[in-house]
Amino acid sequence: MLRIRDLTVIKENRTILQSLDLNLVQGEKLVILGNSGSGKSTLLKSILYFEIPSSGEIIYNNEKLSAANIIRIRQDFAYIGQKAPTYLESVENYLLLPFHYRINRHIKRDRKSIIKELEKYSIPREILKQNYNDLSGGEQQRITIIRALMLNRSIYLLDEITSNLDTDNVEKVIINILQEQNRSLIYVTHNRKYLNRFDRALGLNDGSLHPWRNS
Amino acid sequence: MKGAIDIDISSLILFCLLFIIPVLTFKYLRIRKVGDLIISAIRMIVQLSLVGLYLGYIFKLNDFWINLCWIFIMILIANASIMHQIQLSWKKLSFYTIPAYLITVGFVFLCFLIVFDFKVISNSRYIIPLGGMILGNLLRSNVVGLSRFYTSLRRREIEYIQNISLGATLNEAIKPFVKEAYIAAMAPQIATLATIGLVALPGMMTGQILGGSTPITAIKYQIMIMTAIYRTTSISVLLAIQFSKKSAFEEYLRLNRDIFVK
Repeated sequence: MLRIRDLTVIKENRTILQSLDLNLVQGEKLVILGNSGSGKSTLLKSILYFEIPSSGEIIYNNEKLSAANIIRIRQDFAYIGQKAPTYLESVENYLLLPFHYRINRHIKRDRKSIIKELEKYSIPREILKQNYNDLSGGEQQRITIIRALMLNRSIYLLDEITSNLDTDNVEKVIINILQEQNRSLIYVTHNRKYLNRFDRALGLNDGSLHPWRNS
Repeated sequence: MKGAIDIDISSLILFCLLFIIPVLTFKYLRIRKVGDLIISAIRMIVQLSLVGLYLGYIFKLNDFWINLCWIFIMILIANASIMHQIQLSWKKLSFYTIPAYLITVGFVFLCFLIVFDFKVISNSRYIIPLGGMILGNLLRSNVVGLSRFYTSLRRREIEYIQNISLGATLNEAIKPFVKEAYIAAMAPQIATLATIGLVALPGMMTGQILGGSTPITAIKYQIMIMTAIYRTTSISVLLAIQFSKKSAFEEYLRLNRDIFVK
């Protein structure tokens, strides 16, 4: 489904990723471990060409990514960062924002389905009326994760999304992101706790990926 | 009474010597900006004297095309000053921002035709001071608006990326940033609009009253210029963002970091 071949990323004369190869099949849940600064974020960003690789190619469903098809291909992905974005209006408006984007308008969503999603993370429905900026960082992050998951994309790129959450909530998020069978995901983290719940674990060091061995 | 009473040069110099007060205050509080303070004061005096000199010529010539050239040059200077103050690349963005400012100023002057005949507005005694006030405000509001837009984008690029990756088009993805920049640019003006006249008499009105106009005439001019300024801000900030995004985002909709000077 997603193939990365010989990917090299050089930033400011520093080689971040070197000849990296990766295959991801449909529905596969992959976790990538690495220390901070190992290039995990760069890897996720370069998959969607938010960082331009110095060489190598990214192939999605037999199509090589290029400036011509990137906009269309990005629509099959969702990227979630480590820190939730800021937003000045209510939580409900924040959750609905991407559904106003033209390409998402066909996706059905209603208050009921939103409340059901919130319940999975033990978030009370009253939160919808609150100002998003008044929530704690952890709550904002969970709302951001819920919002992205409701879009039902084929591949999720998750960049240290649980690093600001407490243990209970990390577990809930992990359970929920792994739930959907057809959903592929690359989950990047430095937390080794939940490795065995993923289909495959890889380690990122010296700019390339290696099978993960517990040491 | 026709015109304000002229000020004697020697009395003006004497009056300006009182400038020693802020200088002494700076010394007393040990603020290390005495040099900056003196340099700005000298610049103010030199620049205004020069403007006084060549405005004298321009008013005497009173040629429509020369006036237009003058406005155009002022737009170029305003643009350079905006880019310099907010540390954006003059080379990369001016090609887009200058047309944005030209369109704004052109449109605002067209609006003046509702109030004045073309003959009146093309007179240098009208077009030059009105243009100056409009461009001064355009400069201030764009420094706030454009810098807010680009610094927010740079600081919160992840948020922008996230919007794009959730399916937003470029316009959809930058909309929250545009909104924020627009509010920042407009907010000081809304505050001024609401309190104007209560405490401070605005500059244009003061000038008119000193120049011998009746307060009612002065107020009419003030209302006209305030609404013109309001329009200027709202159009110029939005156009400058919309036009400059062609240079600010490159292939793959990535934020082009070359637009930042630092």
